[in-house]
Amino acid sequence: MSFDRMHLLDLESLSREEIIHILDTAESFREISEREIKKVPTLRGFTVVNLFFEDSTRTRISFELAEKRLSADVVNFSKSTSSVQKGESLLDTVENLLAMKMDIIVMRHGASGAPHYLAERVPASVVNAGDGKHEHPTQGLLDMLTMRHHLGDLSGRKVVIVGDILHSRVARSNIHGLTKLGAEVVLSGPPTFIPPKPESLGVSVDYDIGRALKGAHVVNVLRVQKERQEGGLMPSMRAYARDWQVGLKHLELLAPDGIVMHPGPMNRGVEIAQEVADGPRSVILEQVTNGLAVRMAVLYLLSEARKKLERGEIEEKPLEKSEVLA
Amino acid sequence: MKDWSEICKQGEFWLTKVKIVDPEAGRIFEGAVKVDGGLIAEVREGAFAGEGKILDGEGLHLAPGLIDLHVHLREPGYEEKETVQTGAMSAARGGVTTLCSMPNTNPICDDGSKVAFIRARARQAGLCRVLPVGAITRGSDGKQLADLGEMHDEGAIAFSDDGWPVADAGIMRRAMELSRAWDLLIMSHSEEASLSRGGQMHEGSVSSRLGLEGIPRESEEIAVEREVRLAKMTGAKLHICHISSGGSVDIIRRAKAEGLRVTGETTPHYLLLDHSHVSTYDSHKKMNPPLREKIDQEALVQGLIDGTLDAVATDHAPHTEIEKNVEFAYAPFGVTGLETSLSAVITRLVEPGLLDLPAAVALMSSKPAAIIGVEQGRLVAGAPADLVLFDPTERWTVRGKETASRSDNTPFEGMELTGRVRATFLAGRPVFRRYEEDGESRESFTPNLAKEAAIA
Ligand SMILES: [Zn+2]
Repeated sequence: MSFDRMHLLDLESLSREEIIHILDTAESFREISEREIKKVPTLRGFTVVNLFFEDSTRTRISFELAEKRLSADVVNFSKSTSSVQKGESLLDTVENLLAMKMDIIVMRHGASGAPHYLAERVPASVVNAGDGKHEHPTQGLLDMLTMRHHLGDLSGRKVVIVGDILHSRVARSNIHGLTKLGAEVVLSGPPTFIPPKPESLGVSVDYDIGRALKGAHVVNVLRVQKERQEGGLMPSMRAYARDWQVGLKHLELLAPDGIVMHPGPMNRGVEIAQEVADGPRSVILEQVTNGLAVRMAVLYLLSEARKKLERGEIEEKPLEKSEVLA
Repeated sequence: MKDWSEICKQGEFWLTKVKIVDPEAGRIFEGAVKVDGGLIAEVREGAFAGEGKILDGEGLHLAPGLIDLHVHLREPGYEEKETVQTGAMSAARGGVTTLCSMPNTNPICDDGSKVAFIRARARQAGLCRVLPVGAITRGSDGKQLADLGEMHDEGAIAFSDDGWPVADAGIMRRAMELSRAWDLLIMSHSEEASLSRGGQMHEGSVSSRLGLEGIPRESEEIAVEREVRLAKMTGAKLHICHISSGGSVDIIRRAKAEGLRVTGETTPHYLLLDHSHVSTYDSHKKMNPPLREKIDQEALVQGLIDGTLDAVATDHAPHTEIEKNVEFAYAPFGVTGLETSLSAVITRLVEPGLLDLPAAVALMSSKPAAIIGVEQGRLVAGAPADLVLFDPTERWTVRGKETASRSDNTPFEGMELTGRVRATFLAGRPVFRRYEEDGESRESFTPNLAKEAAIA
């Protein structure tokens, strides 16, 4: 297996084999993180720009650390999406950066599809660090790495995603990645938080969280945002917590080896009870560690693919999106 | 190639060796057409060499010039997207000889002087008849009725707040009531904004995957239902614009069965494309209402076949490359269509045998003419000599860059379509021609500045 892609835009278009290859690569990077000298020269000579149009300290720090441990030259660029929308276009911003010879662009952007837009137009590699309500592929990968670590092969395992699926890029990356690895994915949350035609995503829905969690190997709890209450999707945060907060009583419903995950940052006492977040089933901090390994793996694989392209060993394929079911 | 304009200069000539497509009689026959003084003087069936000045139609098909009920010309205010001049060129290139221009310019076309301005610009262009649609409310703010009577006096053909649909049912009721004074036509862009707000594309499996906010079918259907009920209440003449949803077709079918004066149109893009075409975040597939599903497409086709839908209009909505070449969410809604509509209809409806050519042409000529009550759109003696000469079998690939419009945001980029316009006549003069010269394809535009070319 080799990874010959120039970009990581989403998990939807990756094959099962490519996902497994990234996860296997991440395992070896996790070992590096446990060494005394954590730095490797893999990305020496590569310049990576972290282009963040939305605030996300956690994701940016994770990427930055991954880049530095791989010995890349790192540039950070943050700008709020709203100011970009008014002024300079995304393409202008990026072309300015590319004039300074950037090899890889790690981008967080508020508009779904923005990384795809960019990848079609610039010679650099694009890594999607979260686009709008679409995908957050490295989060999906680190979630799967964490699950794999605890559960082994994920095929046939039951993963329940609870919360605001409709607006969650984390959910979409989890759904595409997990279904490719053969896991059974169940969504739970208020009906106003479930995207239309969920069956077309290869998942099932159970509004009753108790029923959904029965025998689950993983419960992945999503952050609930306050804006949703204002947007009329939920009467209140309290109303959400009453029926969909993952609490202690839910833990006994899980499979014996079942784990609790959360992509962070958490609203303790809203989508997740304090005791659960800090309890023995929680692998939330492990997710953070794995995030670093996954991001190192992705940057390494893209840099290798770029080297192969430069040497003429592979050709750049046009971007394709996996076939969409109507 | 002889210069046709020179031959037609005296106003009297024969166009011979053509296959005449008569949308009203529903048939195609070989023959010749005599034009005199901007009108069709005679339609003669059978082989005929012609007498006097002669244009050789070389066996091409001849139909009435197309009538497009929904076009955004963007002037005044958005001249970087389109002007009356470039829009009229685009129309001529697509075989469109009469178009209704939408009022969402800047300023909004909401009084008589603004209607007169657009008509004056169209006269100067001399390439297409432009019939302005006036706003229903002042500034299309949905609050206070505009002076429909004054705009009517200046030549407004219908009334609509198009992209800013009248949200208040009470205001729409009063507009429809007032329209009865002159029996004006109300055109409705039917959209319940509280259901579509923030939406970027059709709400369904693709929006779920792409993480784009959805615009449900119901935002259109609920609004269509409201308009139909108000039309029943007031007796107004109502036309529903750019229908995208199969459910709207059902509502119109019921309204017609009830005997209401309700008509409806759909667009080429809803017939050829569906929401899966958005899956690459291509902003050239972004319009409002959005591309829906295959089942909607089939219902729209069925509506055209059984006569529930009366017309195909383009909703030609030019936007500059700067505006469209951005992240999907930030791109404006709208696609161009004037130069591809005939080809798209032939490709989608005629080629697979769903409609015969006269019936397809009727959707873009005689039927829309009946909706707005103009004498164009017919191929009979005495009708205005607005004609389109085309090859219904020529295959060509759509390239936005080749457009005569100021904008190139076609949704059909790279698609191969069947049927292509060779010449367009406006009031008896060839205003557009595509011809071969020295082995190369050439195009020419020749405005018809005669007075009769401006009148509809
Ligand atoms: Zn409209």
